Amino acid sequence: MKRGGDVARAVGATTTTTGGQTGGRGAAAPRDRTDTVTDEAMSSHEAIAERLPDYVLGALPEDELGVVAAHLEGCARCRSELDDLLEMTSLLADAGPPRPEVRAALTARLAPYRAWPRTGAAVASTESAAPVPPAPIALPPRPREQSGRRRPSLGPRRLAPATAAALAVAAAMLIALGGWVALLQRDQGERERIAALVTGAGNAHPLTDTALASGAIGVIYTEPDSETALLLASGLPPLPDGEGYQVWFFTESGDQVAAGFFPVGADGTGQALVRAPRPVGDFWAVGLSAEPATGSPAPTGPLALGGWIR
Amino acid sequence: MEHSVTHQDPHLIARVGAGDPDALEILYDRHARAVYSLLYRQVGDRQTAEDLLQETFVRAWEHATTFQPTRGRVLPWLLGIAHNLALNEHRHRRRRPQAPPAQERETAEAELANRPGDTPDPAEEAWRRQRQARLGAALAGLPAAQRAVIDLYATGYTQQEIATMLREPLGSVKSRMRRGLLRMREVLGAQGMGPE
Repeated sequence: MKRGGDVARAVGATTTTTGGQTGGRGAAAPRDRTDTVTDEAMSSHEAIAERLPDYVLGALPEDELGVVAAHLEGCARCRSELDDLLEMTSLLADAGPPRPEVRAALTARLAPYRAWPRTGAAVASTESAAPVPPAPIALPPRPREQSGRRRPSLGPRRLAPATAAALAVAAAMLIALGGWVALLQRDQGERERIAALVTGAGNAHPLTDTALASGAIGVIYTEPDSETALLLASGLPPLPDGEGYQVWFFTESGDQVAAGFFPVGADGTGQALVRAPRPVGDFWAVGLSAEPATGSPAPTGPLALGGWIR
Repeated sequence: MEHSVTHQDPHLIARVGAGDPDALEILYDRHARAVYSLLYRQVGDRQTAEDLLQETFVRAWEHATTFQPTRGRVLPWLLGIAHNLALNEHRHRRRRPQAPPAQERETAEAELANRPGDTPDPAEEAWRRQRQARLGAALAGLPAAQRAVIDLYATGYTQQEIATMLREPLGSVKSRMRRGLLRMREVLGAQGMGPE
């Protein structure tokens, strides 16, 4: 499960900047160290107030953030000033609300997490039980361009480290795949389908999200108009007798459909052609979960491996 | 605005960390406008600002477990993510942040007035616009040196960046910012328009 990690990663691979919590913001110019203050000097309201503007931007240096946060915790006067500053900043910068399409796109990206069964661990004492859906799918969907005004794009503009790692693993898997394909002596059609899937531009989608095994990683090759996809995976733990890895495709609205079982060897790797009930272009995400060998109508186990295919 | 315990930001971000999409959507509804406004000021066009807005909340989703309530509030955390995404965007474009061009601002404001379905409450919006206008007037009444730093700050620059741009000591920028903000609070307070 790839939740957590350094917030530095959360704010982009090409910056040394972070969300305000970890500070160390990479301003365009070197920070004026002569302005650095000690914890003691920062204890005054005035020193805190001077730093609130950067605090509001989430841009306070790490060495000052903790002091300011601690002071705010115990100082109603400075909290009030912070509230005022947030309000004034909001009004000064106000660009109006974003278009509703942005929220709709965000909702669509979250849809698979609504569809997945939740195992029910408590989040906080104030709530009796909170759901624990699968790990977030790191690779976001890439919707097709629509006519007229451009729909909000959904993805980062560069490969996330996990994505790059998955593709590197996929390259290694393809070597193993060559041996597997060679075994398909009897079925020329399948060999051709695999060749077309693997060589098609933009067909590879890394699978990097897992709530079951931190080392699990994979890739799925799809073509939007085809029901057949090639799935490669490694690092999947062996399952008890009577269980297998069932494949699921998710629609934009979060509905899931079963697509058979994915065979995994004793070494935790597998490669197989999987067949969706309709063209893969109808779906937004794919996932595997451990299920009884008889099959489940909906996922009952945690996400073993998953990712976006749009 | 008061929220029940389960709808307060720290609790919501904990729920997000546990993978609850509903909690993220509540946070989005609460803070998207502020995050979007900052992004729009920084990148200068609505499409990019909307792309980065969505990316900000996706990153919040992916990294919610790193949020520490003892280290600050949720909105500044979100703004920090957004601010850094905007910086990356500028590095990508190889140009500096700038306020949206006046013509685009006017067009965008006209669009805003005609947008269906995304204006929360006409009365609230009207009140907000009124406060915004008076705040603008208060800003215009500040000495030029104070107005400059607050203008730049509202565009999303940090105090250090402003100091670098204006070639002023950071301490001077901070004190001008502080005096200017205090003056604006006084003006708004005298008009019965102080921040809520």
